[in-house]
Amino acid sequence: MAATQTLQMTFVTQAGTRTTISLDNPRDDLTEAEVVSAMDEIIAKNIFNTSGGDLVSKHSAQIVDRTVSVLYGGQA
Amino acid sequence: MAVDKIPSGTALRMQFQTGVDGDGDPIYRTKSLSNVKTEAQDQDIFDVAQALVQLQEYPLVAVQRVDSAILEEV
Repeated sequence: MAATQTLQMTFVTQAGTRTTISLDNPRDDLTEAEVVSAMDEIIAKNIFNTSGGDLVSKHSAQIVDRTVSVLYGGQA
Repeated sequence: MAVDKIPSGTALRMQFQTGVDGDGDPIYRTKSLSNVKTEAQDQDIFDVAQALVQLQEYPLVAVQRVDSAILEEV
């Protein structure tokens, strides 16, 4: 079994739509404060362009666990 | 004939080292975020990269700015 974790940070755009930036292999000891601070930095620097315009606020952040179980075949 | 260069897109690419292979050579992995504004400042892109790097576990090897442009005859 192989497990991977992805951090998904969701932002609200000028148009009110949502857009997500994801990052693989988040640190195990990641705190809410660190994620909030990084999301604030992303909004402050305003370097991203989306179909809904600039990112204007934070919506949510989550860590998604994905486990792959190989039933047949696999690594050589 | 003159040619105009029109910016068409910018991407932020972060290169991480995720480990070493059997020969001791580094294994790299890149994370690319493609919808960066073409007019974004280098410093701002770098700062965002730093903020993201701190959230994950692998050491950063390089922050790359990838600018694309279209060439057109005028």
